[in-house]
Amino acid sequence: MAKFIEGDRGAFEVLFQRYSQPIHGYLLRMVGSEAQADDLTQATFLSVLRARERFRAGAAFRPWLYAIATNAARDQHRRRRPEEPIEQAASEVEEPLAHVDPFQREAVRGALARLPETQRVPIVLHRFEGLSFAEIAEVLGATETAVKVRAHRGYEKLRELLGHLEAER
Amino acid sequence: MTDHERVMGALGQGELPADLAAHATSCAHCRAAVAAYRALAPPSGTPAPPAGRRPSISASLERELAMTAGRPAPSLWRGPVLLGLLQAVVAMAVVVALGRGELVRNQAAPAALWAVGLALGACALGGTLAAVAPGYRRLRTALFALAAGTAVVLVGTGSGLPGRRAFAMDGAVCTSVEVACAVLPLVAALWLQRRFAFDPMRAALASTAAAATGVFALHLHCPIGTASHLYTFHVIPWLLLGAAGLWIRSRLQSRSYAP
Repeated sequence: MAKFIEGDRGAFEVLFQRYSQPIHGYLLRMVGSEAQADDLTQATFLSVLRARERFRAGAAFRPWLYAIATNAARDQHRRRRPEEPIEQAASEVEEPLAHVDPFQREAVRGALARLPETQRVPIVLHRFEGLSFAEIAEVLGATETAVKVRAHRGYEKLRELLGHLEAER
Repeated sequence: MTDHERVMGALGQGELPADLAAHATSCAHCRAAVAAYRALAPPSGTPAPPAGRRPSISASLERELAMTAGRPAPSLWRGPVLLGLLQAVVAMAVVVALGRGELVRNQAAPAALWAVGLALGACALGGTLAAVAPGYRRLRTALFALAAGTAVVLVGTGSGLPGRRAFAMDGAVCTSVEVACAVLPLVAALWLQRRFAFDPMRAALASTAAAATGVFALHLHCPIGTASHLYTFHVIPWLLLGAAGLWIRSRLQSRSYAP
């Protein structure tokens, strides 16, 4: 990132190669539409280019990048007209759930979608993107304790929403 | 740190340590959280899922990349420092132009005059810088508190001198001066705010700071010191300009989503 801030084009391409796929997957989970995730991935990296002076020297790049992606998804959600339907998620949205049967996968997707954003984002970042709570706190500009509390409540609610799956097993 | 937080922190780091596993078994909340976490996890031994499609650099990204290649990142502070200078120039130009040789027409006690003046200057310039700076969330909160406190002191320490014309007539003049002073700094502040993701607190602080330019000019120029005049025509327009700036920013497209 330091090289890129100095104007090294190659350094940006390395960052894009390394992070564009995980960011695309994250955005796909957040917005549920392949086309929107494509656009938001480009918007995320465009933001990295345009706002590179806002990156604090010595900070970790990954939480900063996920913060940008989260802001882009939020902005897109904020601007969406209420009558505009959310496109159904593409099949690869739940890559980590590829092992489970489609019924369960759909139930998990539905349950995640029913969580409030304040709980869904920490869970998606923690469970699917593998970020630590310290990194998630950086992404969301909150304290680590606050993020853990939100995730805990979110997981509890998920358990409630997914309870019927356990009963059916 | 509570046991709930420790359980959360340990999820995804392998098996829970014995003490946390015992807690997770006995605590209904943690039991549910751990079960949900595991419900989302692939069973052990599951091969990694196939990688999704790898995005490529779009034409617009390529164009932007070509424009920025070889150029170091611009200074973060150039914009807000220039805006701070603009605020100072606008406020002093208005005070000089309207004062006709008499820079300070406010009849309040010198201590109050200085204290409120300095606080307004801090709100205007500090707010402009803090609204843009990455981090500094507590400083932004403190500046909001300073602005609120300044408004209270401004109204409470007025000279009590009444206006010569009708209440509304004097008020219309003051409000017009305040709004006119705020226009340029507000437009510049909104333009700067578009450089990063919409953040209601930053946007409100930037607008409040820009609007403080007019309040500062009035504080020096306006001789009327009744609480009703100061509250209705100095403080309320300040609040409304801050709210208007926040509303406008919320409708502007960001150039970047960086925090």
